[in-house]
Amino acid sequence: MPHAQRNSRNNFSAPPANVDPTKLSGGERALYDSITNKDATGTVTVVGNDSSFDFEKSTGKGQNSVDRSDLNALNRADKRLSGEIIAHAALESYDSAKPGVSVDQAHDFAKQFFGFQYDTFKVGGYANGRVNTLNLNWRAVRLHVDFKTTLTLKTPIPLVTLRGMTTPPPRDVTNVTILPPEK
Amino acid sequence: MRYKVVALTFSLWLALAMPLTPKEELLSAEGVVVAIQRGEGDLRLVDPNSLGDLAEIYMMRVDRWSQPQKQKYIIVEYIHRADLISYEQFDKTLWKFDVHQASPEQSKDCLSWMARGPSFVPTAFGANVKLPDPKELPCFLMEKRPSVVRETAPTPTAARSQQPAHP
Repeated sequence: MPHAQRNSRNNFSAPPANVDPTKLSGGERALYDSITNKDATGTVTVVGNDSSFDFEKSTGKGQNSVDRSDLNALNRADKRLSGEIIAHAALESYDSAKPGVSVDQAHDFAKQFFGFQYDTFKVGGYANGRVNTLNLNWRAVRLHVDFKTTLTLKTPIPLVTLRGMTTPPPRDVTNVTILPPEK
Repeated sequence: MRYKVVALTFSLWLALAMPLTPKEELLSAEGVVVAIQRGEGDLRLVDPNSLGDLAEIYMMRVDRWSQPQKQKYIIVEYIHRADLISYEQFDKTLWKFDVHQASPEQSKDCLSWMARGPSFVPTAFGANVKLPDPKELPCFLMEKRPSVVRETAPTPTAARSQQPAHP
C-alpha cells in the first residue's frame, strides 16, 4: 500500500519514489494511481462528526467526506478498517472527478477493491418508549471482517415512525464490535 | 504431425468446452421469490450515498434459465443501493433476475450473511411448498435491480405441483 504524506498545506502528496507500482496488487495499484495520477483530482474532507452518514460518503463528483468520530469508534475495534474506508473514499473521489464518470460508477469502481456491505437495521434500545439506538452489521469485503455498529440516534424516535422511514435517521457510530467469523 | 493434431484438438476443446468463469457469466433467471431472509423487528433502510451496499438474501424458484442450468431453487444475494422492493411485491411478481454464480469465496460470504441473519420467511409463492434447506442451495449474486416480467398470483394447485422432491 503506498504511503501518502501530508504536505505543509495538509494535503496528501505523492507516495515515496521507492514504491514500485508494478508490484502492487489490484486495490493497492488503484489507490496508488488515485494519488499519483494527474488526470483528475478528488478531495477527501475529514469532518469532526456528521450525523447524516456512517463513516464515509460521497458529497458530489470528486468530493467525499469521512467522519472522524465514526472512524475513532472503528479504530478502537480494528485499526485496519479505517484504512479501508479512506481507501474507498480516495478511489471514489478520484474516479468521480473524471469527466463523464458518475458518482454511482465511481462507487462501483471503488467497491471492487475496497467494498463494504451492510444488512438490515435492528432496534438496539429504547429510552422513554422511543428508539434511541440501532444496531447494524457491516462487512469489509476485502478483509473478510464483519463488525457490528451501535448507532445512537440524535433524537430518539417512536418505533412506528422509524418503520415508516426508508432512509436512516441522523445518528452517530458510538460503538463497534468485531464479529467472530461464521463457521 | 500427430502432436500438432493433438494440440489443435486440445485447443479447440479448451475454446469450446471450458465454461466461462462464474464471475464473467451473467445469467438470466426468470421465476419467483419463495422466501426472504428477514427478521420480525428488522428495519430496511437504504442510504443511497452510503459507503456500503445493502445485502439482502432471497430464495428463488427459477422457472426459466437463459442457459441450461440444473438448479430449480437458488439463493440470491442482492447487493445494492437502489430503492427497496416492498415485501408485498414479492407475493405477486414474476421476476427476471440477472445473476452470476458466486465464486467459492463469494459463496462463503453469502453463507456467512445467511448464518448471521434471521430465518427465511416464505412469500405467498413459498407458503404452501416444502422449501429446500437454504444451506444446501447454490448462491448467485445480483447487483442490478430485477425487472418485473408480470404480476401473477400463486395458486394452491401450482404451489403443490412445484413442491421439490427432497427428503
